[in-house]
Amino acid sequence: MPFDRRDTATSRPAYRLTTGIVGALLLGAALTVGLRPVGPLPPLGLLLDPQHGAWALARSAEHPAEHEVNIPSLSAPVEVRYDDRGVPHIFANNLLDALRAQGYVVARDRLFQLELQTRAAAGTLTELVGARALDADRATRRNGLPWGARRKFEAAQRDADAKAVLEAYADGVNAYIAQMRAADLPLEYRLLGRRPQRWDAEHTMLLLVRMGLTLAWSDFELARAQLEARVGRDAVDALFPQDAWVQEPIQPTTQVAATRGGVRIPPPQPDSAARRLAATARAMAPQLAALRVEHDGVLGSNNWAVAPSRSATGHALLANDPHLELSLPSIWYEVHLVVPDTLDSYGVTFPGAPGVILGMNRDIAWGATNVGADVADYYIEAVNDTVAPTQYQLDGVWEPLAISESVYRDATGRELARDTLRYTHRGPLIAAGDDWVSRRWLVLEPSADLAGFLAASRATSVASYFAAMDAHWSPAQNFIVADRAGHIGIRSTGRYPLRPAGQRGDRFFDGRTRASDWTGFLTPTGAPQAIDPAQGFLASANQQPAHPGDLPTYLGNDWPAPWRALHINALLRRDAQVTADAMRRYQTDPGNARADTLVPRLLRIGERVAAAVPQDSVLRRAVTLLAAWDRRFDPANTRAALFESIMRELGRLTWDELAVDDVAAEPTAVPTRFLAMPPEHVLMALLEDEQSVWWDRPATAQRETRDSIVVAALRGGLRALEADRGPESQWRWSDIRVANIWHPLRIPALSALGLSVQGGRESLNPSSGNGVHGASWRLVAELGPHVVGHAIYPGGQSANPVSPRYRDRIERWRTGQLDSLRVPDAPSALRAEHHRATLTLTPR
Amino acid sequence: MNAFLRAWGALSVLCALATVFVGWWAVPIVVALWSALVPRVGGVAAAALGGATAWAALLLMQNRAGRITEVAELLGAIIGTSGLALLALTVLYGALLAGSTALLVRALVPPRRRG
Repeated sequence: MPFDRRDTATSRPAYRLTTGIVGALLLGAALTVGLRPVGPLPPLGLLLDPQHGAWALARSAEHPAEHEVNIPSLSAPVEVRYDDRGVPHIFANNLLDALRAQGYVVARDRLFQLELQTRAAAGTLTELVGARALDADRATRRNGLPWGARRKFEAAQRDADAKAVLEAYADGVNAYIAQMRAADLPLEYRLLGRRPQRWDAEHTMLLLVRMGLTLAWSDFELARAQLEARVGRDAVDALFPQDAWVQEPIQPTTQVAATRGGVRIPPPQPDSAARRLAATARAMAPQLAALRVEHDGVLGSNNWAVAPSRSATGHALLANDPHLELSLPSIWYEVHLVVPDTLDSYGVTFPGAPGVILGMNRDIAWGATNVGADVADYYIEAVNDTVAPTQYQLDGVWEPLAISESVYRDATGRELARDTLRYTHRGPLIAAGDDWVSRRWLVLEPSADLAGFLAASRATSVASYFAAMDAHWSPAQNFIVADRAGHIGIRSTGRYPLRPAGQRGDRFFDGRTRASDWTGFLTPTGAPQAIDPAQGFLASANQQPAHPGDLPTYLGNDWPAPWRALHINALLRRDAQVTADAMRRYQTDPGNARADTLVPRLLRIGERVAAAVPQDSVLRRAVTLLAAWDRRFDPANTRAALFESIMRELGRLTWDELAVDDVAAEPTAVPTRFLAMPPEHVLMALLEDEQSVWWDRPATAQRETRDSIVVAALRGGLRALEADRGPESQWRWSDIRVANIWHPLRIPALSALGLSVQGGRESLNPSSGNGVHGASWRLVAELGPHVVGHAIYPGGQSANPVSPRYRDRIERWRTGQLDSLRVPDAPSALRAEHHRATLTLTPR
Repeated sequence: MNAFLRAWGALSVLCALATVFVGWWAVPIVVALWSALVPRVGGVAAAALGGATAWAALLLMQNRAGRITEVAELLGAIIGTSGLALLALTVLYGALLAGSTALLVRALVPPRRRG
């Protein structure tokens, strides 16, 4: 059969050449965009592949009803039953198998999160997200986070039990990674064009160090050095006192005075001798900035427990809501571990941490708030070379620095940067202008924190919980416990560095002598604590743990005003028949002791001046509006916004001596930055001192007094709010203060943003200005014949964004609701209507 | 016409199987083999349609859980386009992989005379 014309045309060399070139170009382009990211787009092949690409999210949104997997390292089969809230109930024959299963189910639901937070602590984010993470990685490594994790891991390797626990968990994670279908690859990997890394047992230690960074970072020395140069040491001591001026300590006290009177803040006296240290601190600050957790000073956790004598049911009750940076998926993962005669523990854990961190078992319930202790000190070192030192001086002898080279790479292995890391016996050595500064930080010390959590989750009483947590080092937490026998207890648990006699930890130390070093540690048994107090309840809200007269040693100096503690205690004092539901309501109570304390003081001054100057309409309006405020931070409230605007203006005008920026005469939309803002208990104390020179603003010709500053704040706060938002109808609190729960990659479509929440600064449900902090977990437990739990966290169990478990809890969290927890003691005890899926893990 | 339909159907099945059992990058391989081994059956259009049909069918199969529009909207929001456009882009990408491969291979492999 002859060729037709078309065949003839297509066989011409020119035509074939042309179509060949076009075909090659199109195929080349298709393969290029398929394999490599182009601009903001991820590799399209991995993303659009209808079988293995992101479309597979639809198929993997829910766990299959029945699934069986082999994990070679298991010693016996493990059954995992998922309930209707997506919580896995793990039934195993021994602890290590339970932890293997935990590693598996956590990886199944949160694989990308596991890797991301581990890399954040290892300083290897560049290998996942590229050069944009280089600054963060540098700060992480230079400040010794991976170094500290390695020390913890090496210590764990010497402890057979700890080693087995870490390896069991890693086995589970890696079993999931090895058996994961291509379709199950989390979306984030597809967007980044990456594959998951294997989980090393050491990664758990990186996670613990990361939590230490969040909860136990302290660098007030830097601000203090700069403040002392500007206003003098005496003034700084008074502005940032070791002990809060308003006392409502965690440990109930017999000391009488709740408010320490007679406050006089010495006048500012610039200290030229402190300038050199201030320059060192200034040079050091940027190197720490990438690690600091900024939270507008409104990060605040709460916990409390009520004795049977004050509960409606006659059983102990416990509530806890730790506040942390919010993220979607949540930083918590809910899990239930059951090992007959060994463990039956329910609660939340950090993905990557074996066991349960906060929660309950069949006998007790427990929770935590952060102590905020000062567990880091800075030492000015003498080195042999100011550019590239190899030795540091110690008691007149040159000691060698431990030195290592650190290389930063991108995902392809290409070198992005290189650092030389140096360590003294105290910790990382950091260049700071003309000085070199080393830091000792408790978070980086070898410790057995995980063993403490695992043992404590098996405790059967308040006393045995505390005994188990004697092993806990850091971050120090106010652990609160209630048991079925009706006991309640709280203890500021952790290790606290003991400094050389007479020394606190809020100033730089001379690194040239060992006499500057820590002399030991205060152990948890000596820390502030209370069990079964006469008042019938216990509470903590990050306030100073013990009254100054009861403090065993210097624990820290960064104590916030105890506004939340005052409010919790007031709620508990006036309710002698507390119920679990009342505790739930308290967790988002819109009342505010800060406003209750400060508003009357501001109004007294404002009303007096307004009466004397009736033509001042702005002042009169501010006073009238504020006086009619119910002092509640509920979503519909409009006056809460006015109060916050006035307080912001009051701080700006009062602490102008401490400002980094020039403080303009009129408030601006850009918040003024301060070297450090004194805590509000100091402002409250200052309000009692009408003639203090701190009321005067050096930048103005006239001499300001307390009254003139308060009146200016009332006027300025109202004007600023009206300029920013318009008339009062537009001051709804829900429009001003919202929760923003971001995905870690800051992708809006994967986040939950602009959520109206009840609560404001220093209420029991505080939210920060940018809305990224809040209650990360809320638990209310009833310790009756059976322990009954009600809890929630913002987000959901699954990290698959199209899963019904991705954000299913957010609305209930936003409105202060709690879920009833299912706590079956055997697989068959999970009721059919609550049972959603079964995963069977078998040894090969 | 029958030959074209047969080629379209065969290529649809081959592209789907390659995607399911290997991955997206196997589509050019099976189309290249087809185009090299049976260059006279079907053409660039059959290959492109085969790639598109295969991927459209796989998308439909992914929709067994009924969430494909949810995924489309989510991915669209991340990338900055509509969900529908992303669904269309997926089908077109399958067509591009197959069609461009056929175009290239047909240019490289000279048609054999028959008869």
